[in-house]
Amino acid sequence: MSEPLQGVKKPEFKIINMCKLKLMAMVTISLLLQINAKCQKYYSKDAKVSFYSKAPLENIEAHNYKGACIIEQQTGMVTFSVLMKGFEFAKGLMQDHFNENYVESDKYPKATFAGVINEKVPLVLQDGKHVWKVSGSMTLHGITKPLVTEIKVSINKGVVVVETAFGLNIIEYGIKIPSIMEEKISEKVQVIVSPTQLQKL
Amino acid sequence: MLAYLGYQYFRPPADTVSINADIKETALNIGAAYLQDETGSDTKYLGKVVDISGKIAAIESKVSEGKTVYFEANDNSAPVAVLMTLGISKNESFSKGDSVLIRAFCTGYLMDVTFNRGALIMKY
Repeated sequence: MSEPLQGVKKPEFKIINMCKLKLMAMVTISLLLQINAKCQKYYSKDAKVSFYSKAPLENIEAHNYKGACIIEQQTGMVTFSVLMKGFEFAKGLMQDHFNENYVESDKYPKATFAGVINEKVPLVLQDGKHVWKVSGSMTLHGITKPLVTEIKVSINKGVVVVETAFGLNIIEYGIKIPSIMEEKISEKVQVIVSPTQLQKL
Repeated sequence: MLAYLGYQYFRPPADTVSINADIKETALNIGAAYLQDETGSDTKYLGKVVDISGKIAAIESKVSEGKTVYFEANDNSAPVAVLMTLGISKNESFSKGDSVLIRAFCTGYLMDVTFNRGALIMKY
């Protein structure tokens, strides 16, 4: 009688041990994923940043192919930065005026948007498309103003792609348009960050 | 007079190859200068035409904006990246490991010290 009883107890012991081991493994993996996610930053230094201005006499557009973008997963911090002299125009005169007379890029070489995603970013990013509202501030021409925008983040098999667009009123940033140029330059500018693939930092 | 104004209005940005460089410097020295003193380096390099010499560490290629050349850097030097101008045939004839002289416009320092409108001047 004793042998069969021992035979029954041993498998139970094994099952309990296996369950404990599985549980421990799951907890460990979950913790590791969380630690990894907490440290996770995504970045690009090749974001295409464009701006467009529509005025009665002329539309203006310029492109910068070296924008920087950083997203910190744990804090939800989002940063976009560009070097003002990196904007390329089709017309040289327009580019000169942009740098010298309007944004004064020698004095203020960078423009930066820094904000925080309003909702909690999941610790493990699932495949799919997310639209997150970001509240922060925009610094341009040495002046910082609050700005709320949305970023679109799409994740496909671990590849993270971000894009955003927002409008700016350049008058608010101390950029003066001479009255003679009012028909040619709009005070409202649309800024677009084209879809940009981010890398893990 | 009208022709001159028209030319000025429609002229494209300056052609990098046809203008003289303001400064000649190695990529390592430019990167080191920016790492030590960004504001001072901006005063020296920002918006200037620079002849940059160094060894190519990497080349990244994108269809829309062309190639970006990364010069070799070290722990004491920020990376130097040059966005090469599309359509210059000479800009196609270099590869990783080449020692080159590239002329380009300095746009400042973000994650790299960045130059635009790069043109290959010579290979060593």
